[in-house]
Amino acid sequence: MAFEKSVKGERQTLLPDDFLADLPVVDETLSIEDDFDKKLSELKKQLQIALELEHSTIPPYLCALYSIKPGTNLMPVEIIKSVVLEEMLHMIMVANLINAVGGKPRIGAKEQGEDRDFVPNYPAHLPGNVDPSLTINLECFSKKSIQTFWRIEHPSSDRNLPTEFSASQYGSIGEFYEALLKNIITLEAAAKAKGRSIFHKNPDKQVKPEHYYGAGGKLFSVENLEDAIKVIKEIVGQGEGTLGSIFSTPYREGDPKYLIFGPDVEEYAHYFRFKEVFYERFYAVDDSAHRDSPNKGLPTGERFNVDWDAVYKMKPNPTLADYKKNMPGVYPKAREFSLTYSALLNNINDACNGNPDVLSKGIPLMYQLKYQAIELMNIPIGNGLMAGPTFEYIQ
Amino acid sequence: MEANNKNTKTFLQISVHLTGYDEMDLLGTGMLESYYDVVIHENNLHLVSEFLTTSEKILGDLPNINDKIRQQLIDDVKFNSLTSNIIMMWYMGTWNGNVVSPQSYIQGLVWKAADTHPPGAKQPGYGSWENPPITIHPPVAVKPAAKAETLTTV
Repeated sequence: MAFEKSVKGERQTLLPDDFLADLPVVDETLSIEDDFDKKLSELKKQLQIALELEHSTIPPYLCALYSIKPGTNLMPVEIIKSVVLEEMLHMIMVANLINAVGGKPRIGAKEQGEDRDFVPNYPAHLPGNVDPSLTINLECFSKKSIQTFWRIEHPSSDRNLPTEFSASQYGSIGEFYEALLKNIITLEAAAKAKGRSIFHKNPDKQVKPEHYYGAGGKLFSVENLEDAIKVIKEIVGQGEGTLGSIFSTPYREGDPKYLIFGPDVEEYAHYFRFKEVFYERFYAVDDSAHRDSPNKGLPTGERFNVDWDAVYKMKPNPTLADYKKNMPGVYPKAREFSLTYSALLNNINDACNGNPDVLSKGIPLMYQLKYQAIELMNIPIGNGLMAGPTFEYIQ
Repeated sequence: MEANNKNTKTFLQISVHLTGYDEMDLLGTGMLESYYDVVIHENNLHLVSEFLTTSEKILGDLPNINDKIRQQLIDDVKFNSLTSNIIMMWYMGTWNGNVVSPQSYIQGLVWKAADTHPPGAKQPGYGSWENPPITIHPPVAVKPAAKAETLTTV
């Protein structure tokens, strides 16, 4: 949808010409008294789904990352790590957005409630009906898992956005966010017309850059519509990082819109970074992102080494129930992992609900999560497979 | 592991009793095969073979296992240095003072036992030192009889 690049330290968000071209869309029928409240509550629900969407990709990315044996695959490790850090950042920014419109981000809390579906039950579909043809797994680093990852971050060429949230399907994460942003803009316009705003001034609930250090880019707090647009553009830009038009519009030779790679570009979107891992080479400066370009949108630059065998072959989608029943020896270690993961979700929940200072206490939990995951991946469970981290919420 | 499956298994099981850590803790270090290789390559093969045979017998008598280990592996001059070297290797990642591999330093049980992390590796995160180590739940006490169950997972 959009793409972002950072040129010599200066970040630029490059968006397709038609991204949000027809905004703001003010729904004429929207009456501030009845429909408005209903729509606002729908928006909060959709924002909660966005939070779940951001989180849902983290466990699969972490499994791939931690399954790489120490000291090997340096470039894939760097690339996957940079993506995971950005997903975590996105999660926090979505929580800021929820707080900004007077909602309550539910992370660990949702798992303690009756709905209990914050954490996907892997193998899973992406939350929010995003690309239902895609199944995401907890599995080790492989060509197959990298392909799944770029499908997660795949831009969609279908520009027909659903107008209603309920029962909608989205071709991509970018489409989901575009629909979300349109609703935010529409609602804010309707509120403005009545001299109100959907944005609450609650700076105490915002996680700010000083609470979040050194990872995945800049953290934005949200107090108004401008901030909301900025956050969503950042999320979509870092993720898909491309225009749907690389698939849907004719290729014109040398079109600068698609020349987005090279050593001066510090960072480009997840979609392209996963392509680099898969093809074991960087994008060259004259590579085009467009599917019909001479390089077919694929990287043709300098090669780097990927050792697809230097991997702990974890059995996909491990569960506590399976360990308890079939591998009682592994169960206590898996349980310890799940406890750490649950403590981490609770920590982030607290941080995003009025105690942003506690986020720093989550850092040791994140490290512990990693060491416990790797410990599990070292335990052979037969047939040449290894145990793996059970991303399940337990109390 | 497949070729020396039986011997590696015996090495693992006797290591459980020598170190006080259970099978999953030892497997979780990822060091079993490297350490077994060190034992094979740094010692007289006959001695290793005898050590494993003796260990197997000892493992067959769980109720008296600690006494048997003391009498036959630690107090016995033949196995004394091999046995203490094995314990040292699991805890320190070294054999006769030489570091086995970069990973062995990181995976030494000494860090786990001291509830800390190897300096320069497995960092717990900036500022974490101002808080006590994370204990989400108290560690489960190790029961000697329970940890000597046959290895079902390898």
